[in-house]
Formats: sequence, C-alpha cells, structure tokens
Amino acid sequence: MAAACALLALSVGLDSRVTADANESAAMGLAGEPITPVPRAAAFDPDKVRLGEMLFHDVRLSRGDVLACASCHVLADGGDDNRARSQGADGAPLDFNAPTVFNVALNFRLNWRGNFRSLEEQNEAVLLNQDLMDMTWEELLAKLRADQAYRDAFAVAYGSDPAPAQVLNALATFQRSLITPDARFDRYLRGERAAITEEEARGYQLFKDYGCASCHQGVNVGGNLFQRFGIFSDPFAQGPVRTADLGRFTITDQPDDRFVFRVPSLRNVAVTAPYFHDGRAQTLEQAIEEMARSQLGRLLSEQEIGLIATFLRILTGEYQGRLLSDRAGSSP
Amino acid sequence: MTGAAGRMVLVVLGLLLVLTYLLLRGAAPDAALHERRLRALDALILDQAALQRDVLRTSHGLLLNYDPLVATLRTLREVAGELRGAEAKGASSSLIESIGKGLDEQEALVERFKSAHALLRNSLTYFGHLSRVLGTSTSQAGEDVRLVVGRLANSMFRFVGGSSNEAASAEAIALLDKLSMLAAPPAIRADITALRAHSDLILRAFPAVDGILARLLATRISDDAGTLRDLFIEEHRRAERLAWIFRGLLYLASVALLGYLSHLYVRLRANARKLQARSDFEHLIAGISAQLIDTPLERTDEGVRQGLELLGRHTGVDRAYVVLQRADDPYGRAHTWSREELKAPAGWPDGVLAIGSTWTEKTYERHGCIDVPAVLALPAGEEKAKLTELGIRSWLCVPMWYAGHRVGLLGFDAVAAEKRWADDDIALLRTISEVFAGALGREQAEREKQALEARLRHAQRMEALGTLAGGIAHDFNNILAAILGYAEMALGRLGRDSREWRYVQEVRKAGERARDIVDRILAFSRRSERRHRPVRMRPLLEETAGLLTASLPPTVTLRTLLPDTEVAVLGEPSRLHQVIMNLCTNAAQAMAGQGVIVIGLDVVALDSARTLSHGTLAAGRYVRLTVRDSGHGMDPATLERIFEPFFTTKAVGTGTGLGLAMVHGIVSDHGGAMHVHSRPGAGSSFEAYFPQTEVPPADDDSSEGPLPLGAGETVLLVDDERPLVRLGEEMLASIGYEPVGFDRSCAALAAFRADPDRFDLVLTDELMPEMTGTELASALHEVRPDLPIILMTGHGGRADLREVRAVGVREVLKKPLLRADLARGLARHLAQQGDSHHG
Repeated sequence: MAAACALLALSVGLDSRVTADANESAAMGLAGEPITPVPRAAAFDPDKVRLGEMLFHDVRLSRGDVLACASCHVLADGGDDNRARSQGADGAPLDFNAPTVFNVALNFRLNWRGNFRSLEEQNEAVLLNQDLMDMTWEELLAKLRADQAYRDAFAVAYGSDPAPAQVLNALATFQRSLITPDARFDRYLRGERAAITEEEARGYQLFKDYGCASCHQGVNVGGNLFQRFGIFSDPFAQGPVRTADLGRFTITDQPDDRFVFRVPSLRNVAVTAPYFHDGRAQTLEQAIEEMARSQLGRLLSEQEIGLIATFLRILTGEYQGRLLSDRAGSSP
Repeated sequence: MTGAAGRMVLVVLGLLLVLTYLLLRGAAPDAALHERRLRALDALILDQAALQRDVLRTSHGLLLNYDPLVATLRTLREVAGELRGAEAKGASSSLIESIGKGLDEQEALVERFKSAHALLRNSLTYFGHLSRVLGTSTSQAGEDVRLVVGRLANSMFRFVGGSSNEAASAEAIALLDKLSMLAAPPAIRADITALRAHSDLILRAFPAVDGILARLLATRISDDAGTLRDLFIEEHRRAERLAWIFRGLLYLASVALLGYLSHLYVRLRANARKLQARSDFEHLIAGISAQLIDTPLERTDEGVRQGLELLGRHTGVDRAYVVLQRADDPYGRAHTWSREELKAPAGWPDGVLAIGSTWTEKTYERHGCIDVPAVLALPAGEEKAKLTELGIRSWLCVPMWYAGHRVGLLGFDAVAAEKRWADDDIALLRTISEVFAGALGREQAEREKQALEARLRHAQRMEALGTLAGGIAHDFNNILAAILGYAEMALGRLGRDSREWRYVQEVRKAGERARDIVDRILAFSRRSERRHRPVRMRPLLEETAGLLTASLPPTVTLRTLLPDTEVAVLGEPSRLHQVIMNLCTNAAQAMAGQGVIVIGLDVVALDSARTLSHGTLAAGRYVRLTVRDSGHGMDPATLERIFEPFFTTKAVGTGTGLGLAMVHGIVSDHGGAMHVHSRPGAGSSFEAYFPQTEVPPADDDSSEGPLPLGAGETVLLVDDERPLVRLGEEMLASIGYEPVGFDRSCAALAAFRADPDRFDLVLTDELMPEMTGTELASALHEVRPDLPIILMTGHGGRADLREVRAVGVREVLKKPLLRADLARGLARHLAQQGDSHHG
C-alpha cells in the first residue's frame, strides 16, 4: 500500500517535473528567447501579506523609530531609494546601493554579494545589523506586543503573539508578493507582437547580439548568476578601491571572487536609478555604456546605447495593476 | 486467596508490560520517514540528472537562461536539507554527509560554470556578431581581412564545436596573429581589437568551461544517492523484519494472555461451579434441617431417613445411615438409606458403629470425622477387614454429639466406586449430623418425657387405689377380727369332733382367707410398717424355688441363675418371699402351664438415674431379681396396667388381680422399682430392683416354740369398738392375762391415773375418736414412763415407727390380732418389764 503510494507520488513527481519542463520549453525554448515573462499570479495568504506590509512600513522596526524597510525600498519609487548608497539608522551612508525590492523573490541570491539565500535570513540580518535597523528581537517584540493592532494582526495571520519567526515570515511573504508582471516586453514574449515598437525590438536584438543576454537572461533578466565586474577593462581604474568593491570576495575570501557581484535583475531597471553596486551610474545610458566598456570591451555608439535603453524601458512591470514609476523623474 | 490474587495481578501486569514493549518494538518502522527519504533520494537522483542535462543543454546553447539550473540547485539544496534532517546512523549518515558535501561542491561548480559560460557565450555572441559584420562583403574591411576573419570564425567555431580542439586553437591563434599583421582601415580597427580580445577570451574560457563541465558530469552524487537509497531500503527491510518478529512475538504474547485469561476463566467457572455445588449442598442441608424441625416428633425417624436419602442421592454415595448408641441398649437404633439395588450386608450398619467407636488409624481423621477415601489403601488390619466385609470402598464417619455426649455416628458408604469428600462437604455433614442428633435427641427426650408422664399417672392411680383399698381393708380387718376372735373362742368351747366345731372351723378358715386377702390389699397399699432387716437373697430364693418346684405342674421347668456371692437387701423375708411366689405364679399362668421359668439374681450398678418401665431408680447399686418366662407376652397397653390391683387378663375366677399389684407394692415398699419388658408372643421378663445392702452376719432366727402364757398380769386394753374390746379381753384371758378393757381412751386414762401401778402392760388401738393410741401412750408415760405399751393398728396407719417409739410404744401389732402373735409380743415385753420392775 505504502509502496504503491510512494510509486504514485513518484510518478506524480515525475509528471510534474515533465510538466515543468514542458512549461519551461513553452516559455522560452520554443520562443527561443533567453528571457521569460514574470508569472502573473501567485497565491499568498492575504493576512500575512497585510501584516508584512504593516511591518514593512513601520519605523518601529528600527532603533529610535527612524527607519522602516520602506525607507530604503520606497514602493512608489520603484522599490529603491533613488540614492547612490542608502543611509543606515545613524544616517551614515552604507556600503552598497539599495537594490529594488520588486521581484526580489525571483533572484537566486540576495544583495549585491549574494550573501543571502532567503528573504527571512536577509530581513533578520538587516533588522539586527547595527548599521541598518539596529534592532534587537527583545525590543522589537516588546514594541509589537504593546500594539493591539499588531497583536490582532498576528493573531489573525498566525494565531499567536508576535514572535521572530512570524515577523520574518510576514515580512518575507509581503516581499514575495512584490511581483511586477505584465511589462510590455512580457506581453511581447507571450506572443503579443504588437506590444513593442520596432525600435524596441531592434534594441532587444542588439541586447542579444552584443552578449548582454548572456548574463541578463531568465525570468528576472539577471539575478541568477555571479559575474565579475570588469572583464575587458577595469571599472575601478579611476579611483581608490573600497572593500565593498571587492564584492563577493569579502564573503568567500576566494581570489576568483574579487570584484564578483550578483548579476542584478534588469526588471524595472528604468525606475531604479542610480545603478551599480555603488550607484555610480545615474542614468540608463551611463550604465549601458559602462557595461559595454567593462564587460564587452567596446565603446557603443549613442544610437546603439539608445536602442538598448529603449529596450530596457519596456521591462518595467505593473504592481497592483499600476505600472511602476519613479518619482525622482527618470521616467521610463 | 490474597496471595493468589496478588500473583494474578503480577502476571497480568507483567504480560501488559511485555505487550507494551512488543507493541513499541513491533510498530512498523516509520513508513512515512522511509517514504520521505526514498522520495528525497529519488528526487535527488532525478534532479542530478536534470542538472547534468541542463548543464549540457546550456553548454550546447540549447538553454538560453540559467533559471532551470538555479531552480534545480534550489531543489537539490532542499533535498539535501531534508536528507540531513532525516535521522540516520552509520554508513547512511556518512553517505549523507558525502552527498551534502558533493552538492555544496557541485553548487560552487555550477556557479563557476554559469559565470564562465556566460562570459564565453557573451564573447561567442559578440565574436559571431563581429565576424558577421567584418566578414560581410559590405564591410569596410579589405578582402584579406575579411578572409582571415572568416577563417578565424571557422576555426573558432570548430574549436568550440569540440572537434580537433588543439588544432583549431592553434589555427585560431595563428589567424589572430595574421589578423594583427594586416593593415585594417581605421573604421574597423576597434572591431578588430574587440574581435581579438573576445577570441582570446574564448580560447581561454572554453577549456575552463569544458573542464568545469567535465567535473560536473563526473560527480558521484547520484551513485552515492543510489547507494544510500539501497542502504535505506535495506535498513528499512531489516527494521520491518524486526518489526515483524516483534509483531509475531506480540501475537504470541497476546495468545499467551488469551490463554492465561482462558485459564482464569476456566478456574473462575470451576470456582463458580464449586460454589454452586456447595450452595446446593447447603440448601439441601438447610432443607433437611427445616424439614426435621417441622416434622412431628413421632415422625422423626421417617424424617431422618428421608434426610439420609436426600444426602445420599445428592452426594452420590451408595449408603447413608445414622447409628445410635444407647446406654440401655448398645447398638440401639439405626436409620438407614441405601440405593435400591443394594442389599444390606450382615452386621450393617451396627457393625460400622463398632468400627467408628474404636477407630485407631488417626491419619484418617479429618475435622473430627473419619474419612477413608480408599478402604483398599488402609493398612491391613481388623478395620480394613471389617470395612471390606461390609463391601465399603470409601467410608466417611461423622460422629454425632448430643448434649455433650457422643450418641452415635452418621456414616456414608461408597460401594460402587470410591468417593472423595471436600473439606467443605465434611463441615456441612458435621452440621447435618448435629441436626440429626438434635432431632433424634429431642425425639428420645420426648419419648422419655411421655414415659415419665405415664409413670406419674400410674403412680397417682396406684396411690388412689392404695388409699381406697387401705380404707376398705381397715374396716374389713376389724370385722374379720371379730369373726376370727369369736370363731376361735367358739372352737375352744366346742367339742373337737362335733359338727358345730367343724362349722366354726370353716368360718375361721374363711375368715383367715379373707384376712389374707386384706393383707394383700394392705401390702399393695404399702401401709405395712414392718421392720426391715438385711435379708440374704440367695437362701430365700433357693427356699422359694424349692416350694415352687413342688407346687408347679411338671410341664413347667424352673431354672435359677444365682450369683456366686451372697447379696442382701433391706426388707422383710416373708414379703420378699411373696414377691417371688407371685411373680413365678404369674409366669406359670402366662405360659399356660407349659414352658421354662428362669429366676435370675444379680447386682446392677447405676451411674445415673434410670427410668424403668414402671418406676424410676436413683443412681446406686441394686439387687435385681429377674423372672423370665417363655409365655405369650403382653402388648404395651397391658404392660402399662399390669400392676394395677384387680387388673387381670385371666378368666374370671382364676385370679384375684392382686398378685402383681402386691408385688409392686412390696417392691415399692422396699425402695425398689419394677421393670418389665415384654412382647406379644416373645415372653415377658419381670425385673424387681431392690437397693443393695451389706450382707449381715449369719444368725439364726428365733424359731417358733410353744405359746408363752401370762401369769395373771393385768393388761389395760383400749379399743373404740366394743366387740373388739370384748374379743381382746377373751383372747388375753385365754393366754393367761387379766384384761381390763375400755372402749374409750379417756376412760382408760382416767382409770390408769386412778391407780397407775395396777397395770402391767397397755394394749391400745391406734385409731380412736377421742384420743389416738399414740396420744394415750404419751399421756400414760407421763405418769409411768416404764410402762410397756403395745400399739394395734388396723391398716398401715402411721408409717413412722420412730414417732411411736418416742412416746414409749414398745411394739406395734397388726390387726386382726392373732393369739400367737399377741402371746409372744406380751411375753416379750412383760419379761423385760418383769426383770426391771420386779427385780
């Protein structure tokens, strides 16, 4: 009986695997495109999402009630803070540019150095980091338990009082829900040929021909591998090299990991300026030019840069039915 | 019982512990865990395959993004976590460790593969793009450059394509050198530089990627996973086998428990049955008790017999009986029951009583009973022989006690098969033996009470008859005294041969017969006041037997059974003689003149009072005189009235009906009692019991000599009846005395007081209207204490001789007076008087 069940489960597993492969093929294999569209719907527990959203926007998650998650990840600003490098609870600039929180769940690792695999780990590190939220669980839980609204929300979502695991889960659940489907390019990928212009199509072609799509591929257009910043030229030739510039090396201590970063996603890239780990590029064009120089060993023409930028702008998706925007003005 | 219950609880607890242990050990190995492990391993192996496939597809450009790799790596990571989480030991745990390590290494390799491959692809893409741009005819590059670029592209793709790698790479390097030599137009110089740079990267990166790929494909993770899978399966199979063994043991333990419970159940049922049987038995015994209590006493025997039957049938024995032991008749009565088909052997059940009373095998005694489950197993001896003779195979003997005395036994014989008795049964049988003993004791007591009542009635009747007869006899006696007195005087005056003399002689004879009858009546009424003295019984009996032999018809044989030693009773020889004579005469008459009369004499010692058929005896030693005949016997009704005066079964005229009444009176007068047993057709046995006394020394009684005559002494005669005074005066005168008669005592006293010394002796009647003889005697002695006084009494009168002696009476003579008696009595007292008075 048990064996039969196991066999059944195994066969179902095989089936689902086969189905997954088929979907995979359908999404890109047949289309022959390196990029796949953002899945539209994922079911999340609305109570947990709501609680996570409360927490995400609550400055009480930081020492002195100065910072919320949303302070650096402004949802209305494309999920980042429009700063080259964010500020911690003490106002000092941090080591890295704040990446957008949108589609964060589609990344294989988190942060520039890819030092977190799960949102829960990453959230806890941010909460407890003295340079960031500078919080302790004791303090945070005391604050949350003192608030009737939180007690109710936790009771509804988890049937318990606030506890670390629940706090992190709520936050991560909310963050996983921050998915931006239905970018115009995704609609194109789904077969809606007219969703993009001729020019944008030519930009995409260049994007592929120049090898950009070697790293920026997949559902998140990047975010699924590590790569060294500076293959054909040294991007740090101009100035002194900070520790943060060593990238993944600071975590692994492997010589091969010097200047290696997680390849960032290009989803919503038009609304998440400035760019790179240190926010060195203020515009898309500057970023494209930098990438071409360091990763392609080539200076691109303005026309080429423009075409690629045009393509990148159609990667901006929708959150809760609205196209993402950037109040800072670098409109898509 | 408590010990047994404790043991039972321990056994059950122990079994429960064993069951619990077996249940825990017998639980199937965690099937879900096993399934999870296997599924994880299957997933791992599949994911490994998927990963390798995707890596290959990627390296061959069939996969355009790394999402599948990322996804597979994530699943592998989860699977590894799951495997690590699954508790494992020994070989499996080290394998899991190794798989985990391999997966970590593999992940690092995949990351390196992605990075390197992305670079390679980037360069290849751009190389392809540039070579296409430079190689087209529309390019600004010259023919030679175009040619070299084309050949370069060729060799480069050959290099990447995997065939003749070394050669392709050497050719590409050579072509690159050549390209750098060629002069290129400024417009394409940057493209050429980029082409060179990317070519270098391709040549450098491709082998690296290839190497990573080779390492990825060479990973042993799947093999390890396969091994682990087999290990898990083997482990699971072992665990399952063990579990099966324990389940088997569990089953066995359950069966054992069931067996034990069955055993308990069986025991419980057996106990219940035993209790039921005991309860039935108790009911039976209670029923018998109740029935015996309700049974009227006269039906007790029947009740006991029914009880024995019920007991016998219930207990399954073949015979049940009660044998009573009686002091008066040893082996008295028995109540028996036996199965219909059985015939009672000779000597049963009385013989059993003897065995039970003298039992010697103490090992067979149980709870005060004798329990012989197997007579065969008894040690050889008299007891075994006797029991065997009675056909008994198992024997239970319950002694019966009543009022502190052992009165008999209750016995159960198993004849057909041996019978074992339970302790409880024996206890109950003891109870029923008490019930039987009680019932029979009550019945006997009742019978004795009835006998005593009958005796009392009899005594009262005799007393009444005695009083009546005594009164009549007194009057008759006075009449007879006159008749006889005058007859004698008439005879004295008449010529001896004259007709008148003969007539008067006949009157005198008739008068004497009448006096004899009156004597007998008086004897019966016990009014005699003769002086008793020790009488030797043997000579008396011998003398009487001699007389009887002469008087009995020759067809009657008389036998005497006399003791060797002399025995004596306190009494009067002539009256004792009468007793023997009357009893023998009665016996001879009972035999209708033919048969054997046995006269026995012996001594009986009674430890306690004893009730006889016609009287009671206090404890003491008695001389028993037995007269047994072989006559027709008597029925109980006759037996009861046999001693009543005038009661006779003989034809009118053949008896007076006074003989036995007289016997009874004499015996009672001697302080004894009568016991008669008789059955119609079986003869009768009359036993007269007299208190035994010491044998007196031999002496010779005064023999009858010639009448002593007076010498003219003056005798004061007092009697209230004038004829008797005259008769007395005549009689006194005829024997030589000077009589002075008075018919009133007061007148006599006055005459005496007038001249006290005038009289030598006083002869006075006792019963007188004015003053009794005793009172008179007392008054006379006040005047002259030495005066001899003789009292006459018609019937018994005052029995107390001492009282009359106290007032000075020397002798009491019975009326009617006989000349001889009178002459001797006067002579006796006047002689003494004369010695003292005149001397």
